[in-house]
Amino acid sequence: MSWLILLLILALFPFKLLGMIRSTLQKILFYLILFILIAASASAQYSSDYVPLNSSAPLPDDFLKPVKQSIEDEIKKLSPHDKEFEEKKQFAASSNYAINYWLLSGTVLVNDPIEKYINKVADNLLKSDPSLRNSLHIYVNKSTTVDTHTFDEGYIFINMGLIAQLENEAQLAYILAREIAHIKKKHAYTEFINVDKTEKGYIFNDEEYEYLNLAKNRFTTESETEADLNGLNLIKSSEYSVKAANGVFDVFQYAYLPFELTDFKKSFFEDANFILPDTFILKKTNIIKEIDENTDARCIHPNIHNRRQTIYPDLKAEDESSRKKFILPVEDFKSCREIARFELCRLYLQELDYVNAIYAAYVLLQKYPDNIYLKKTVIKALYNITIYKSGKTRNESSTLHKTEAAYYNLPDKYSVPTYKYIQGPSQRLYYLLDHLSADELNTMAVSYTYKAAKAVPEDYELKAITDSLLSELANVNHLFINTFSRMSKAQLKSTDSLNANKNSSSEEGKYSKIKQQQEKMELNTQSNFIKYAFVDFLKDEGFVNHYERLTRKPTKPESFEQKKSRLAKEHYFNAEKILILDPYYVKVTLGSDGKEIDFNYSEQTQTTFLLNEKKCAEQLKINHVDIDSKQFNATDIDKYNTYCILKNWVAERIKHGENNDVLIANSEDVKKTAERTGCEYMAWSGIYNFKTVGWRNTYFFSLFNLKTGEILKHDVLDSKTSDYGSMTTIFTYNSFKYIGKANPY
Amino acid sequence: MKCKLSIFILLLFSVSFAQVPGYLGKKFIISTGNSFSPSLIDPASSKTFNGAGFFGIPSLNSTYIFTIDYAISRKFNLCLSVNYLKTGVEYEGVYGNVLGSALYTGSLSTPIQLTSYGASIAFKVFSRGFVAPVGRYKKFDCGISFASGKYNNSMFISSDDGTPVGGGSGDYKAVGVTFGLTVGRQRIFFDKLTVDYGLRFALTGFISKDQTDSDATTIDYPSMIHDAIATDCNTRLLHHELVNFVINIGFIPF
Repeated sequence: MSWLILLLILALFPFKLLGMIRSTLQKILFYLILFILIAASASAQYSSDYVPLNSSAPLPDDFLKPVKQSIEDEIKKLSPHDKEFEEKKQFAASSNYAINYWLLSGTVLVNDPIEKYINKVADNLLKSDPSLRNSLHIYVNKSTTVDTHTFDEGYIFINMGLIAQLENEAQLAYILAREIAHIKKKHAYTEFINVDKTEKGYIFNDEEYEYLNLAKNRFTTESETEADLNGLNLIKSSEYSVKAANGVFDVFQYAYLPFELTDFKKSFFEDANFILPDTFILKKTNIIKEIDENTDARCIHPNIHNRRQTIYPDLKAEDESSRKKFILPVEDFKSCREIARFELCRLYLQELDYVNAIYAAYVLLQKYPDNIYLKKTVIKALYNITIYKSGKTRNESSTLHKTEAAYYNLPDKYSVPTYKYIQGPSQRLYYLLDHLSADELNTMAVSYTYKAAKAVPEDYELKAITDSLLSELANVNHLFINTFSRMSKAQLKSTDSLNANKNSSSEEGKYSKIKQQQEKMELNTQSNFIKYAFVDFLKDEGFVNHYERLTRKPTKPESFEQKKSRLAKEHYFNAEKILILDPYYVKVTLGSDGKEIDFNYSEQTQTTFLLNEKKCAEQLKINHVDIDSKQFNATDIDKYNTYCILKNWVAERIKHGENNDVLIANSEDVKKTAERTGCEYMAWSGIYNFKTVGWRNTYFFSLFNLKTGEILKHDVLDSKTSDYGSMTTIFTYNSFKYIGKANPY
Repeated sequence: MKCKLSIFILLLFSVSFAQVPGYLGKKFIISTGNSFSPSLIDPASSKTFNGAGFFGIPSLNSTYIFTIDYAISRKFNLCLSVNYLKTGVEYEGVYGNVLGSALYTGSLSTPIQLTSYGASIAFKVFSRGFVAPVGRYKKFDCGISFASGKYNNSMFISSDDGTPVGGGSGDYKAVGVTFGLTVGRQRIFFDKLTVDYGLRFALTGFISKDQTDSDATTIDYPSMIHDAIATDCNTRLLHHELVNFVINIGFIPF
């Protein structure tokens, strides 16, 4: 700081002789102050909280155009005399449907700061080719995977996980350049033709088919290598650093690692009295090794080593003197990357990757120690791991479990992934969370959460989580208030030595000697560390009262089966208003060339399906608010944001199956939506209609309580039939009739 | 008594399944239709009489049906039906036993006029994956039918001496009980119109066959002829019920 004051004095010094120096110093000082202010404001921005990204108006036309129209527009561009006219027609249908699927997946952001920044980078990259630039549609996709998805129609979806890992703007430019090369070379179409050929004559099951349909939009090793080289040529035609491309391969190679490698210290969870034993800390973590990718045979992408080798001669030859790693302000890049890292914390939670969520939050908390969003990320992750460690499982025989298992391919119960194969410093966190027992983890979670809640007393969510964790501690893990010591180890040791001095003069009995010996042993052992976890908290009357009140809970929490049977008896939820989320509809037919999604029919029927739902709700006198993705208009940004919140919430909630005790990452946003719309319940349903030898129709319906996060009803009906209108109506009506009152008239 | 019983059953189900699903809250379907069975026994509308008998391809016999369906739960429908059948039974020409026989001298092209009125109660059980009243179902029915046949009893002569013999009462009456299984499918169009179709397999047992079981040791022409005609009529009814293609078209009133 003193050098800054010195600089200030010199800059303001009035001597004429020093005029030149003074003006230079004034400039330096101006930029320095500006830099400090920007840095301070950036730091201050996230010092206390972070608000997750939302989309901003207006919604682009891409979201508003029906798939049918997009397909027709694409087909109009084709020449009927083209030898591959039929294939191109099929590709147009498939590709546009996939684009629509991505756009309305609820994970795509619109007009957010990161998207704006990426588009500016694309502007710089394609200064010389404005027509190509205008044909591109670049969006950010909320996914932790370090990846991008590109479509020949000019759509590029860049994952949040990739942004979080980048080191400079030039790397982002190279990634864009590669994707543009894919678009220019029409790689998606080439892959579509190749996959289509292999698909013919082979019958796929549902999951394979879905995978294959997405796989049609991925690229083979040849295409990737071609994109690497063409992307590099595009970079060469711009002002961006060519050598930065090499860094992109590092990003891809180590994509499985967290965005920063910070040593994990157990003190993160500790305080003066809650000390984790050293046995919970892994002495030596695995070294980060280059993953052996000697063969390309089993990979979609060619191995990194080969790709580096291919572009290396071009990298070496390039003169870097006039090239830049940053064309836009560095702070803009850093700000976007920081936002992406904050976003990752929540995305990891949504993907049930709790350890990575804690680690990401841990890394950022080193920089922003008071950020409540990051603390909540840690708390929510600890909470859900605790719930699962305490023995909450999905019910294997239930229909919900079967459905979710089919869609998400999930194990029956979440468990911390094995630490053995984790590389880098995050391995310590994996080791710690894996080795802590349910009650130890629960105690640690209470300790961490209570401290966070104390710091922000007005935060209702933290209070509620603390209560739930305390209830879990007492009623599930059976650690009652008396289990915990009200005196610290140090206090007990001093009391012990005093007693020892007093008793040394008098004659000791055999049993008091044994007792003293045991007490000494207990004070010197580390294994009973949870006993001293709440020493400070137990001085707080509020905490004690809370703990006792929650312990006195008379009955065990109701299981899903118990609740289901109770609800079956009660029959009706007496809801007056529900939120109807855009239904899911896919029809797969058996064409001459194999199975294919009937895109037009699926889109039309999805709309009819929603109308059916509305008709049934009206028939049952249930007021409804519907979120129809096919009816968005450019100004419907609030509706779109609500749609995204609900879609993400449902996707995460379904992964937990019947475990109603878990905490969903964006549950607070959903509660706000429930309050805003006046709908406590949300209905979501879908149909998967598939033709093999005969028709197969799967209808599902889920009723959620948006305020509690519970799944109240889940129906799955499998039938061997097509999906004629009255079938859909009767399914929907029967699912809906329990939502309202027993006698709505 | 039957009427009271039907109402009782309907009320019982109304009470025991308070949450009746139906279609958009509507529980009743009123429909009318036909069931068609191949006319294995002559005559048939598609066949022509050439003096010796009926020749041509077999056609279908039809029964007219009027049904009321009531959705009693997510999987079950209760159905009440009445049906009407009108058909003919070909005269055999010669009726008799070892002791003697009688010949029918009337026109063979005008067969015995057989009519049957029936009523039935049935349960439609909708298959897994379907919700009543739409989709595939199996229908189990139990019905009673009252059959009557008119034949010309004045045109029988003894085959020995050609003298006219009495041909019984000229009026055949029988009561049958039918147990049937229908494998079908019901669809609803425009939320109003219903189409219900399927294959029905049934067996009929007769409570009253209208046969005297005439003594084979004597020649009692009236009884012998009446019994033979009754047997033909009963066989015709039995065959008619065996396999049927059923189609009903109806609407959902409330």
